[in-house]
Amino acid sequence: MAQGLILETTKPPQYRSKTRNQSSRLIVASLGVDCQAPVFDPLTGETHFLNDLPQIILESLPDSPTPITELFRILNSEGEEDLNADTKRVILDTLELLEAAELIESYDL
Amino acid sequence: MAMAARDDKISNNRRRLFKALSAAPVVATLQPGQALANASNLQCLDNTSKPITKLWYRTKGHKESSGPAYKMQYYYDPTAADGGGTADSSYTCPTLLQGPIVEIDNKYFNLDGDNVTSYITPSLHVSNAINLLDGARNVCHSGVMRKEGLFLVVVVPEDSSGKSVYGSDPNAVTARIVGVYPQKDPTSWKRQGIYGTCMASATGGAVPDDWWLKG
Repeated sequence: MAQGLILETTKPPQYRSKTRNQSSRLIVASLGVDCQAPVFDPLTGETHFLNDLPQIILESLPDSPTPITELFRILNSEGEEDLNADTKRVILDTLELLEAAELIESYDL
Repeated sequence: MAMAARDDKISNNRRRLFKALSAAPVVATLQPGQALANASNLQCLDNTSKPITKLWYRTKGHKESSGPAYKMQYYYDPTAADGGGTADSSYTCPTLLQGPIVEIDNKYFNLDGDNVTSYITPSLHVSNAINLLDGARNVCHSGVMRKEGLFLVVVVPEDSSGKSVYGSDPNAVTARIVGVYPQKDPTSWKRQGIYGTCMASATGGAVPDDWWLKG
């Protein structure tokens, strides 16, 4: 209930993938489902290894600023209402991980 | 038919998403080599205030050695530049001082591990320089600090009678320095010493053939 409250009362930021951005193009090696996807960032020399959920989110996130509700819809394929609060929280946590690794960018509205 | 294909795709996407949700998300970052080397170096620097006993050495034909320590050090090259002394070639400089000097914990060692602190005085004229004295305490060499970094002090544990023992021997009560590694010119670009990259370079092929790291 508390998690749902947070989602409803705070203004979530928008997110944008950096994988398709020309100025910070990341090299993503897709190894398929159930594999860790290595992502190489030529700018920092870092290599990131993602398991399934971060990989799915990174693949699904457009390179234009996208509201979190839209991302939920994309991920869910059938409408936001089917994702429960726990699932949304895990997705938000994953977005934080991806942002910390500088694989995505967030924009506060 | 098209509707069924779309439903299948949606179903697969959802299945993949919910399967992924069953595991905690992981984003692991592998730093580039340069950053790793720096991190290793910093880790060693962090340990300079206390002895490191995690590493064990064995030299061929000798007992197992223990207690090598990484210490912050300064390398002086007696042949490099004037350290402000009055070096005179007529003086006979002790053999002990004929070579690079390493400062570790305010003590001075040659690369064989001999403690030559009693032969050293800080230069009064040049900062970060030392004068190396002969037996009559004349300046036989002077040297300036050429390198600040990390050296590995190789020691052999001994029992109370001075006998070399295994590091794991409960009778090991002290340790004798048998050398400083690397015994090379730290300023040479051709050689990769332990300084700068710490363990990263110690395991990178620069360790002499008759030494090996136990763990």
